[in-house]
Amino acid sequence: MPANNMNAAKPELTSNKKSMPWFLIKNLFIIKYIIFLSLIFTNCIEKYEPQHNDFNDLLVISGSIIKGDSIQTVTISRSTPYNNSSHDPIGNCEVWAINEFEQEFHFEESKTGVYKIKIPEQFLNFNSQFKLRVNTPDGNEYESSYEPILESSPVDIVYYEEESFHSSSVDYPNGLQFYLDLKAPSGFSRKYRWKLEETWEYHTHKIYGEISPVDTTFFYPPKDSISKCWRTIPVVGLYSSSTENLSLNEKKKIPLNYVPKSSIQLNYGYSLLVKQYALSDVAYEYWNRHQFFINESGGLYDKQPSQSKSNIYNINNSDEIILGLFWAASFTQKRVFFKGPLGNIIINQYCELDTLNKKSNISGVNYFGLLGFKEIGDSRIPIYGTAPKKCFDCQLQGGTNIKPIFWED
Amino acid sequence: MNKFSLGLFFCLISQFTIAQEEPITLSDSFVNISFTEFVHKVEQSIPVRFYYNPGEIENLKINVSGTNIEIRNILDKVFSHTNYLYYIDTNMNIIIYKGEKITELPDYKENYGITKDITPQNKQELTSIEKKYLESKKIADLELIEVGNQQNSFPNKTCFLRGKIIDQSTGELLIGATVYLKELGQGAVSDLDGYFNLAVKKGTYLVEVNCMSMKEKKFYLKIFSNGNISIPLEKKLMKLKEVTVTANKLDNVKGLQMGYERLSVKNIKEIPVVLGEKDLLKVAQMLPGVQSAGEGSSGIYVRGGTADQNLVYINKVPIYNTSHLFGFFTAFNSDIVSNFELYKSNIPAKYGGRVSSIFEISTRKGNKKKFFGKGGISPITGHLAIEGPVKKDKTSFVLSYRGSYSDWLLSKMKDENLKNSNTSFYDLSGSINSTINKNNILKVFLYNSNDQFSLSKTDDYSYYNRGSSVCLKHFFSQSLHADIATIFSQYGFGHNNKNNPSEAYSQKYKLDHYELKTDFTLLTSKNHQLSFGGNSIFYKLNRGTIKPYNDESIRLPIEIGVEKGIETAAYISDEFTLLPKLTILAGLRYSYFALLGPATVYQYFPDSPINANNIRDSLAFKNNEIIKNYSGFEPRLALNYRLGTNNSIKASYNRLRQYIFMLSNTIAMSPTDQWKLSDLYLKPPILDQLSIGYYHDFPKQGIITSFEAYKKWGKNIVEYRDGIDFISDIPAEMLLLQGKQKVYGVEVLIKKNTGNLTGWISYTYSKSTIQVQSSLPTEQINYGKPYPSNYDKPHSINFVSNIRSNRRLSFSINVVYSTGRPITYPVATYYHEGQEILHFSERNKYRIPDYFRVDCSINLEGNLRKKKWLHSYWMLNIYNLTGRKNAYSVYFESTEGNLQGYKLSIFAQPIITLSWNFKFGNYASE
Repeated sequence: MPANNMNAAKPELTSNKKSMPWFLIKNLFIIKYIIFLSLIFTNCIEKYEPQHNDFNDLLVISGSIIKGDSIQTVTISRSTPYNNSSHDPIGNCEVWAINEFEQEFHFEESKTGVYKIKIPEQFLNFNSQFKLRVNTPDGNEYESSYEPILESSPVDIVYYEEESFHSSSVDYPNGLQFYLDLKAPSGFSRKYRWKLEETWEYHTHKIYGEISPVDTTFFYPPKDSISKCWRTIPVVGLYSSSTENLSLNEKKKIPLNYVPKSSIQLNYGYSLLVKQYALSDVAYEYWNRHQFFINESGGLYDKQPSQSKSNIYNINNSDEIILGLFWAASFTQKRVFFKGPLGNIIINQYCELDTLNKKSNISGVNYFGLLGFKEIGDSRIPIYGTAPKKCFDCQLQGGTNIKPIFWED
Repeated sequence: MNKFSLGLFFCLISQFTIAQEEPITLSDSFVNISFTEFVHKVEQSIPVRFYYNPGEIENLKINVSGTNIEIRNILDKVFSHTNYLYYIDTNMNIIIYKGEKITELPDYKENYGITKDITPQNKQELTSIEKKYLESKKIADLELIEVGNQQNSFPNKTCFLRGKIIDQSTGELLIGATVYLKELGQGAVSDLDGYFNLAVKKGTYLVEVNCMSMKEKKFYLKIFSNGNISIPLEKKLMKLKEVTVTANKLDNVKGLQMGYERLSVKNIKEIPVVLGEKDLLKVAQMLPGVQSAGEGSSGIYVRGGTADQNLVYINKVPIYNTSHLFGFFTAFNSDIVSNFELYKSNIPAKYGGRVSSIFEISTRKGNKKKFFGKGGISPITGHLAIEGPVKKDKTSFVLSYRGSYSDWLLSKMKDENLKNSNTSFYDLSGSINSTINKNNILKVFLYNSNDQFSLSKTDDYSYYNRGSSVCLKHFFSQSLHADIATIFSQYGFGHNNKNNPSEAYSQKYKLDHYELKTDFTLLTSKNHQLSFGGNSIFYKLNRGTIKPYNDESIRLPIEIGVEKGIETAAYISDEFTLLPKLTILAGLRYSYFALLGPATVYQYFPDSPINANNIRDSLAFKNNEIIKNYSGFEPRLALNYRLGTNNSIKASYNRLRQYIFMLSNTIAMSPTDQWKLSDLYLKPPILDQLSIGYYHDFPKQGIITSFEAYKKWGKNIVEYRDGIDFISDIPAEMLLLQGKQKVYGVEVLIKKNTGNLTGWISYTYSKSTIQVQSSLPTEQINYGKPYPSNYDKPHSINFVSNIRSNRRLSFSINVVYSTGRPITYPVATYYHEGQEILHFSERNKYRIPDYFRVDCSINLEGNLRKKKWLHSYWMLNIYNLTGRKNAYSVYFESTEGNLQGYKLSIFAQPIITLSWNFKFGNYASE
């Protein structure tokens, strides 16, 4: 029954609570100390922006030389105010990567502030070193320290566990927490960073209306090729860890990203690609420090945030503070697949058909339509229905209808 | 008219006659001196004694001179243009009064010796002026106590008096009672054992004895030679309701102490507190110049100093962690605390070892007559203390226990993490106080506090304080006594970190403190109060081992190291009156510290940053070999200049050195912060403090005020490098830097100690900055520029009040305001690989929002019938009445690559608790 369907599929929207019991914050260190009070009292977490208008306008240079990537990228910009963050690129810079043999590789500006180069594979060897040189249009010269390309060990295991997740902004009772086990031979780097890329399959929105049963053969335009899509995006977030304090170059259960059960990502299959980068001390210090600052700083029992120093400096003025990092690495990768769903299929949009009696009334630009039957008593009357395009075409939600080669059905 | 008044009439006539028959003359000149000075001089040269109201007459300037002038002529001159009148009796007591001339004189009863007790025998006969006069003098029916042996008596000889002040109902010795000899303007305060010493010339004096919550006692003391005295005081009828800070109104103006606060547990009984637990250290945070980092943090910050710069003693046992449950409670059961003293400046020479402040907590000495118990329950804890005589009037004991029972709350929680968590704490103590004989008092004290807390499967914490002290007070004579103490203190913590199975570790830390301490007090004939003595401490710190938590963990075991050191000090100080109005306390302390082997210490290349790349060599030291020693003088000086009876100016300077400090890279003291000794590279912090103050009392209104300004200069103040971690085997010198600290501030305090409305209001302005400079860029913080210290809160206002509506019901209100603590905020952002990244300001450049809180409490005593076996009272507490969401911390969290700031508040709404407290046995005990 259409009516029943509607109820059953009431969208389970992601909840963004403004305040929550503070003790549920994952990773917030204070939790461990004073959680007890939360039992009796309400504590409260509110969004809060520091009230000040100070702004340090600084040069930001971030770039990397990654063995295994065909294109190397450096971005140059200026920092933006904390309470009004944006991107302020700087064009017309001269950018070189220089290896330990003083061979120079000149980057080309691909768009304002973004500089790219394809360095031939034969120059990107394990343990070869690169530094970055940047000349800005205002005549300043910058250079980084030499950064080595360290060899990354193979990714050992990536897996997930069903868990709840709590942070200052979200409170998920259930979902998938991905983990990684690191197992590297002793000669390899002890410091790692992971970059993640997620892919999930999704279908066009379920369409509701008085037309039933919906017969897909009557779709206009035909539905078959655009009802099932896959979307791949990088997971934003910083993931790094080290085995410095351990007797072996191994570490279990390093947390990666979390996908809530309430997300549509887990409906028809979810694939996570984990790229493991072996880091130098300098690069690890940078990534790990910022990982800390964006996740768990601020408690009375936390280390206090502090200024982080870049490995890039102004040749003529050592006092200038430069933000960003130049790093080099190699990577290995591994993919893990979750065949959904985790519980019910999650529907995050509601598509309802409007009924029309003439096919020509369907606007081909924004709306697609379909032909179905309306049941009136015992008889079925053919009728047209129409709904927004995105109800019919999954590509409009950012994915592609070409199945990725790694996809497991 | 009865026969007494008739008799009196004749008596008076005869007095006049005598006075007129033998005129007393004087040869002197008095040029523009105050009346007090005039009196002083006259009393020294001729055998007269003046009685007058000093406050009123003080402004009168005296200009009289001549040879062989009769005293009456002088007085006539002195009072010629004033409305003062005088009267001289047979014993040459000169009474100055105001108003109409007494023509018909009231009834007097001659009582003792040279002093007159003026007792009206027939009130109807008195004029209103006479009544007023008598009431104001209140010298009726005063007892005369004679001390010493009349046979041994020589004129003008200085006599030494040793006294003790006791609660007459319990036999307990009273701490901090003041004994004031009115004629001499001289006095003494009873020490932590209830004893005082005085050196006075032979003679008779009017003595006023005051002690918090006790009735004032006045008596005449006639002293012939050295002797002992025991002064029993009665309890005040109204039970202990006033909220007072210092014991006695005399202290504020006349005492030498500055930057000094005293609290009695009786005073804090009704101050509203969170969770209904009486808590001395929480109340102390409402005194001027005392701050905390925030709710749920254990550190106390005094005048801009760090938490580890305070030395907290309980019966001479130093307590290295004073909190339960990470700072929500203090680790002492206030049932047994009798006295609390805080020295913020002008720290006496007998104290040392920490540069900011000394907290001295004394516990009850125990009822020597009857058994007595008290206790109470609140939502979190139950507490009980029992005391009584072991041997009546000789030996008493006190036992106390406090424990939490909060796990039932946790088990009710829905969240799995919390269900699997538990927390508990307890503290217990026992003491025995014994008066062995007239000259020896023995005190034994044992203390233990314990905390444990585990959160789900991720962390277990535990920590403990253990301590004991054995103190012997020995009186060599009336003028010399010694306090000898052996002290043991131990602090330790344990932590299991199970966040990651491979990294899981357990850590254990232990500090042992052994101390021998001797303090002598000598009173000389010139009324010099000399103190001298010394102490010696042996420290043994096991900074802990980091071990894998279980078989799954592959954590590398780390020995952070063992440290041994001795700290020893000797001091002498003298308190004396240089001029009639100028009192001086001069002291000198010399302290010595040596770090002992065994140890292996790195040497670094000179003029290069101290880090792993610059290690030149390592030195190995044998067991007990001196690795490094430090020593130096610590001068202390204080002056009190009395401007008048009710006001004074004081100034003080002191230097302190500290040889043990805490490794902390967090804002608040955390239960895993380690204490560490000074070493080859980390020099002991040294701090100089200069303070001046003005003190004014308004005795009629019961108001006392003080205004103090101070400036402190510290060096070798320990600061951590950005982003470091102390759970490693990296030597501390690579993690820490040392810098200079500058603090200045003013503190204003207005207190009202009497009446139905009591309390105080204080305002503090202070500024505390730290500067870590070096010629090497990596060896400085904040580019070598000064930055506010973590605990710098410039403005702070505290208001504490208690209103008594009747004998059973009272209300209290607190208002607390302070500037928010410093914080490091982002000043720029940028995106790196899609993630927003923050660039932070210089250290502590900004502040979290200001703190404001109002609390109130209602106390209801059970009925006050005397013959009840159990007396109890209820206390309803409302903490944070306005529900203001005070910022506890501000932090940033990333969602989808973008950062959002958050403010965390604890106690974001009014917290209401009801607690029930009881007393049984001897109700008079408090």
